[in-house]
Amino acid sequence: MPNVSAADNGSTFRVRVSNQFGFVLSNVVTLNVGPPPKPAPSVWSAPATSLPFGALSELPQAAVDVFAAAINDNGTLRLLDLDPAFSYTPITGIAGRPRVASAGEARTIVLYFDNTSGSTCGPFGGNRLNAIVLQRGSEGGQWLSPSFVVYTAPSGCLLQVAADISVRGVSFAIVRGTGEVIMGSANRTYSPVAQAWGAPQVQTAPLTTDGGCDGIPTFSERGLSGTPRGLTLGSRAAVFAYETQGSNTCVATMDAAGVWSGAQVLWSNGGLSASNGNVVTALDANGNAAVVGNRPVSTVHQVQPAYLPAGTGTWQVEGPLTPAFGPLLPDLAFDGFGN
Amino acid sequence: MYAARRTSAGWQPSVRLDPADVDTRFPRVTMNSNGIAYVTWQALDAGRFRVKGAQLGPFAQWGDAEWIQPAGGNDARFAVAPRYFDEAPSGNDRLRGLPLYWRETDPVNPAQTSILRSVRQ
Repeated sequence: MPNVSAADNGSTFRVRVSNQFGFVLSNVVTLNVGPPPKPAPSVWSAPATSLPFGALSELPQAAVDVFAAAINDNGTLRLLDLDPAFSYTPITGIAGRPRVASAGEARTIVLYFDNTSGSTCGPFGGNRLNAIVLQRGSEGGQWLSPSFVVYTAPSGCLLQVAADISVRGVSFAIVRGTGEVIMGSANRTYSPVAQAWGAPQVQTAPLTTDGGCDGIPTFSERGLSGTPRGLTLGSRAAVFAYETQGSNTCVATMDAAGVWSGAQVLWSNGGLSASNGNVVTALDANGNAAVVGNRPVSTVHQVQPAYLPAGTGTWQVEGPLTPAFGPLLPDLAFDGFGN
Repeated sequence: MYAARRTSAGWQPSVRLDPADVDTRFPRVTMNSNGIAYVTWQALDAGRFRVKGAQLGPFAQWGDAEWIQPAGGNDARFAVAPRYFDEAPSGNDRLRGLPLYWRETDPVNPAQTSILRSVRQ
């Protein structure tokens, strides 16, 4: 019954049915208006196997809804729980950890590294960044792009990549043999009419530092599992934080124009092996940024956060949080209001 | 496992999500624009690590920790979920289709691993 509110509770009514010969009336009934039904509490489904037992070399990266996950399976890019309508041939020869990002339910991008002939960046990374895109139309049609090259490093190895589809496309950072860090961003558009991708628009610049931020570790020094850095890309900004070989934790940010700030020291570590340190980053849609790291101090590991209010340009090193904990990586996420 | 939340008033005191935990690792947190969050981690249980989680619901209240991975399974390794997740169309703060993936190892042959998936909805 439409347009019923709590104020109608207790009202009485009768139903009248009529035709050309007359009408009849029902008995009087009383309307009972109860509280709105509560949604059933959300629960976890029973686990299902997405990939059976085998010798996996990598961890999954998950995306919402369209793709479920992409993994590096001993050098093969596998997309788990893909829509059965797709015909996907796993891509071989990939390196490092793939990344996945979704723009709502309409588009998902999978990024992965590989190595051109002669590159020595594997197996934790590559010298070339590639992407495939899954697009879903409002009418329900689906389309999977062929793989395409986003960027090839002129020298050195690609260090880390994050993705945002809505505005900027793809952002990445590379490290060269001298320890110099190059920050960059790339964007590539797809024309549904021509069914073709435009040329990638790439801009790069050396990441300037204040001296205490030189010496970012390379793959060979840390490997993938101990990657002491975090890169997050949002619709209007990006944040990149890393731990140096000199045991400082540094941060740089990218503004809406794609310009990276110089890296600055957030804090220094001390007392315990810096190899236990690690750092993660987060951004919200308004440009607030946060960093949290595992900071070795004296004989303990502190949970050390820092916060950048949108538009201020000034990082606030806060905390540390309590209690201190073991040498494991914390995690970080934002809501829509800078919390 | 502990969780701390930052508001406009700064960092709030850390909350221990499950006092029964004795050994935990690999926290992951995902949050939507309304501040509904879900934390997953792994906790030692009967000699093996199992995946568990807890939800930060409306009014910033943490719910009880719950096991996600059934007892008696293999040893859990890393678990990942999307950093962000969609809300239900009605905006009623329910988690909609939050997938969680984790890796399990065969205790007899640790080189053999598999990927499992559970969805909260």
